[in-house]
Amino acid sequence: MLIQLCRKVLTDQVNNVRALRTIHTTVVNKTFWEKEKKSGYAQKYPLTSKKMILDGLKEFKSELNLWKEEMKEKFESDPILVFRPGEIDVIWKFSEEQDLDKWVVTSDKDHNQGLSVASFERSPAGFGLFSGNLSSELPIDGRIKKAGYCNIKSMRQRKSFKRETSFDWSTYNTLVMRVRGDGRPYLINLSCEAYHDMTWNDIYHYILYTRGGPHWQVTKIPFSKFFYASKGRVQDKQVAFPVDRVTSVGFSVSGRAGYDGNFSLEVDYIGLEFDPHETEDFAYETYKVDKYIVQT
Amino acid sequence: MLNNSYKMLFLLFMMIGTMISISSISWISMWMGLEINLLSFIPLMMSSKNLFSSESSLKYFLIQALASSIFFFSILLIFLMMNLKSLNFSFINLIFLISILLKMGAAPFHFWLPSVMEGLKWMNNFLLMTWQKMAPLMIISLNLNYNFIIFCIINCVIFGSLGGLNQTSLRKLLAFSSINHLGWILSGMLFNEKIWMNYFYFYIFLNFSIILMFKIFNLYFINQVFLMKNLNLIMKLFLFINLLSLGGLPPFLGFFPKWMIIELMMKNNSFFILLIIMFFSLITLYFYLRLSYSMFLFNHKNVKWNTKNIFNLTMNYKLLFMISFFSLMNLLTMNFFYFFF
Repeated sequence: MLIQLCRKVLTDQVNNVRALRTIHTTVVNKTFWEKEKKSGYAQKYPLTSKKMILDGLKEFKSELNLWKEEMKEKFESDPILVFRPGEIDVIWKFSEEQDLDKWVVTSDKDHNQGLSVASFERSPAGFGLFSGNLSSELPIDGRIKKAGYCNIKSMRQRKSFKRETSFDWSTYNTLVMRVRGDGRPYLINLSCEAYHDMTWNDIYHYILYTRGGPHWQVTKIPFSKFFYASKGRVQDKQVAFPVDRVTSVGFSVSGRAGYDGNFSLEVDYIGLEFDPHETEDFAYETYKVDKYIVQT
Repeated sequence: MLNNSYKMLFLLFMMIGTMISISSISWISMWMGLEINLLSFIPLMMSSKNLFSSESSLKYFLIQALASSIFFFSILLIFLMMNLKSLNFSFINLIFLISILLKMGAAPFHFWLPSVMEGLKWMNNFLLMTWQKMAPLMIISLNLNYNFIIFCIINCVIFGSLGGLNQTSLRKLLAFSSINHLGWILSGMLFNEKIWMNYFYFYIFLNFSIILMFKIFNLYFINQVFLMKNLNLIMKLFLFINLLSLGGLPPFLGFFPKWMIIELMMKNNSFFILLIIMFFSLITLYFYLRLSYSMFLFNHKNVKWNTKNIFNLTMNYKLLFMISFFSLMNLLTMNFFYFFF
């Protein structure tokens, strides 16, 4: 009886503390292990396995040609040795329709968690336009406590035979974007799924401040400024951005705190630069306490 | 290094592990030495502050643990074979050799080496490339299987040279160069026990000279070589000398161990293997040369008012000076030394 009473008191305390102190309303994951990459949001494959195999065989010839090209490039080409200041190597340029196919648009409406809509199309001027309507209105069933976000993300790079790879940006140190926004701050997400499953949700963020208005802005952000977060939670122990295993780039916009409404971000190109004047390794410190001091 | 006492402890145990392996009379104590070596090296690898070193150490641990377990299994099979006399020795020898070659990073079991080295800092890379190969090489030399080793030599030399062709990371470049040099060491092992040891000692020296240079100037990628504030003309010359020496170009010191092995193989009439390893070492020389000439020609800036006296330099620079001078001048001296002793 006494034990049951103690248990009730303790759990009540814990629940109250949780209501007061937590910011996130999803359950805290107390283990490192993730069952799957999409954390429960994966969609089912539309075809059966047999149909997928037959579908795959149709693409065999084109994939083989792609493999031959890769082998040729490996043996014939040399790596770029010199990177001059001011030279921007463009990774994505949104001048043609097929460039937009490599990006995926998501919003909180996809899994019935809100009412925001977004799209990524060609703007009338001929650039990529990420636009839509943010709404922080919650769905009626009450499962969701916060809503109002939209994202675009580049799809995973694949080699021949659909093998997943990542970008190797080890020879660059700055991300350059030519954008035209509407004055909102957008979040730049560099997702770095490295080798292990612990790093599946590692995303390095930085904020893209836009000016409203008709003029373009060229934003240069060194890689040392990106901070480390996992599933939206900024980590205590910050590490530098891993330049040789970048899987995708994305932009996010949020309509919380009363900033609902239409948004638009027009992107001309996203590129990389090696700036020799950028000498900073990493902008954030972790205060390392001596071993004989007990951390409070 | 001496600031942290744990590093001293683990370095000491790493060396003790290798010494146990080298000086043991039983296969099991060799395995024990390898395990002590592995367990002491992993904390040394994890000592830096970022994620990549822990990823590298995890990969390294998995590979080495697998190799150790297969090695132990093959030892047990050898004991069984000695008692029963009905098992096939060549198969057991094959498993034995494969596990040890996996430990060293010899082709075709080398796929872990570039990605593990990519996450480590220079001093840990140096240990991984030189010291960690000592005990496995000793074990191979006690239990050779000529056909398989020749297959391995050819693979090492091919993968080591062609793999390094399109690399921008200096660590991966040195990983492939290490695989290539391992091919040469194994080819020396086929004929004579002392020759491969001599090559190994020279290889340690050459590696040390390159890695010291990269460590002092904090170079990890090939585009960092052109930054003006890192390298002046003399340092570029030293890097040039050391790189070409590692590539085995005469008149530098790095040619001498290759010369010994070439002579030995010619005397033993193994021309075909010799032709293959010489041909592919030319490709490794190409990618060292590409690094060197780009260093001199592209984006070249020189600070002309550098008035530093050689004798007032810091210890690091003096060490670099001595090592590079040794690489440049001492080919003939080493020749005479080996001739007389």
